[in-house]
Amino acid sequence: MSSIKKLSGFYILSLLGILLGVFFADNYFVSVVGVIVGFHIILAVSLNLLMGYSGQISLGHAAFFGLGAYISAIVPDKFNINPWIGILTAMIIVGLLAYIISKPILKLKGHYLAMATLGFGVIVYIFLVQTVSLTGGPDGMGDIATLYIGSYAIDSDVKWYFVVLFFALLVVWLSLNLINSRAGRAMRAVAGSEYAAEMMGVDTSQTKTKVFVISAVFCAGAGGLFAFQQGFLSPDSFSFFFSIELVTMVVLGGMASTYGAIFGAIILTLLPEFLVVFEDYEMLIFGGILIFMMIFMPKGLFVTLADKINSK
Amino acid sequence: MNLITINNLEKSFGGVAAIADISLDIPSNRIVAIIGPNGAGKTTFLNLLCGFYQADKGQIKLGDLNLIGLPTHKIARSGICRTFQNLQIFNNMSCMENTMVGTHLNFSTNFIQAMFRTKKVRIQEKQAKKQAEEALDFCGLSSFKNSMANQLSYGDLKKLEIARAIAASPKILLMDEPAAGLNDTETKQMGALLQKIKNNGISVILVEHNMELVMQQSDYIFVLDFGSLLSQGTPADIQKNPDVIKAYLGS
Repeated sequence: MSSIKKLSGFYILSLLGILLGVFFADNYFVSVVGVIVGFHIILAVSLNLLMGYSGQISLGHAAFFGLGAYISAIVPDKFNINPWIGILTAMIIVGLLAYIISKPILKLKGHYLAMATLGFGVIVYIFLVQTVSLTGGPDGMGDIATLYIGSYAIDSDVKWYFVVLFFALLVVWLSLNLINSRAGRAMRAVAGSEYAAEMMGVDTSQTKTKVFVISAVFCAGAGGLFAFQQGFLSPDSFSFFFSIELVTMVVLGGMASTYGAIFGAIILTLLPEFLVVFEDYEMLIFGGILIFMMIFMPKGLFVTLADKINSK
Repeated sequence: MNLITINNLEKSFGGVAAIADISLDIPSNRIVAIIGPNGAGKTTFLNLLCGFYQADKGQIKLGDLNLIGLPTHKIARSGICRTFQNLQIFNNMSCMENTMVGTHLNFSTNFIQAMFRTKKVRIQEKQAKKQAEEALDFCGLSSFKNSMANQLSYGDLKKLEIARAIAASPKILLMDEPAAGLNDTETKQMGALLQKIKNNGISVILVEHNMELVMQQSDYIFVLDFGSLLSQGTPADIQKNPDVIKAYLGS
């Protein structure tokens, strides 16, 4: 695919996002669900860099999101500094943490890597629940300050919609740029064949570490915004199940496709909203749809559709 | 002139000596073949050269640089590249992108620059495309430029591996059984490609079972048997050597 075609998708996405925000600002699906979709897009696209493109699974990405959220909320509160600096601090701390754990963890492959990242996610979750003095523990943490851009308060759903849209598009843009570059090809080479990648001069372990850190930092940033948008944090938002949901978004949309991850994030966020009408049967139908899609579209929804359109 | 000097190289796996005390000098600007019966240690030898295995003992010197102990990506930096017997194609990429990975060492932009698509990235991207196109063209794969790698036939995938390696503009190309699984016509094409690579100033070291290809194309041959050097010489010498005939045909 040419780079023009790749970026034209990005422009369409941006335009769609802005138009929805401008004309349907009062719609529940735009201003409330839309914000969550935006967060999920950032997370799924970041995870996809690691999982889809570089072939390294992570079942603990909710932990980076959660740590980002809590650090962003706690640091400005304790040290009385600007919330944006709090978010930045969170991104740096999470980046460092990701760097440190990547050294032992990324030596593992396949199932073992899945186990290790799962373990990391669980440890962080327990940490968030147990450190009651810092995080409020299982009761959660409220009264998180309002975020300002200059002196402009982001205090309504619609304002948040545009802020999250901006950052989601930023992450998508960065990700698309990365994929179609020397560094991006090195990442994909690691997924394709580590032997061949090494032989072409790619430092495979360093490449994996970099992707892992970048992915974690993006998630932490999303977490920071999430903390201020919600105004309240509970460890349950960052449990193992959320990590699995993120993996599902990536797989459902189509691994190694940024648009696929976006697609997956949108569908997996919207679907439960529509299935609410089925009440008790909601999860049953939700699960059924997932199984159905994976049987008939194993490469993922977006990738399968894109292949169909391209082959015509 | 010697390209690679190997002294007392040893490698064993759980007590079995795959390479037992080999010393040899590989001449430069030649097609050098390494032959021997199955299990002679040929592929192990290549894996030691490119750093996939670490030698137990000995030296592999490229000029003044000792390659022992260096990780593969650093060895690649010193100008060694290779192709694989069981193909190691990046199936998740197009032929063009596969070949562009080959140009990895020719450029320098990092992750951050890539994400913001700086001017340097855009310039290098164009150069990388050009180099990759040349390499694909060199191997006769221009028409597959935009195909996904997994759509190619086996023979073309072998060429793609060569294109990817050539794109790195190495000094030395290691080839593990380039003719394995190819038919007669394809083998002839492979022979011609080997000569073309040599004429481009790249030294070729190949491990190969197809004796016709080895005898016709190589300038110098090393024969391994049970992990040691049995014999060396020009194809004409080797064909006449009674030890070699014995090793191949049994006594």
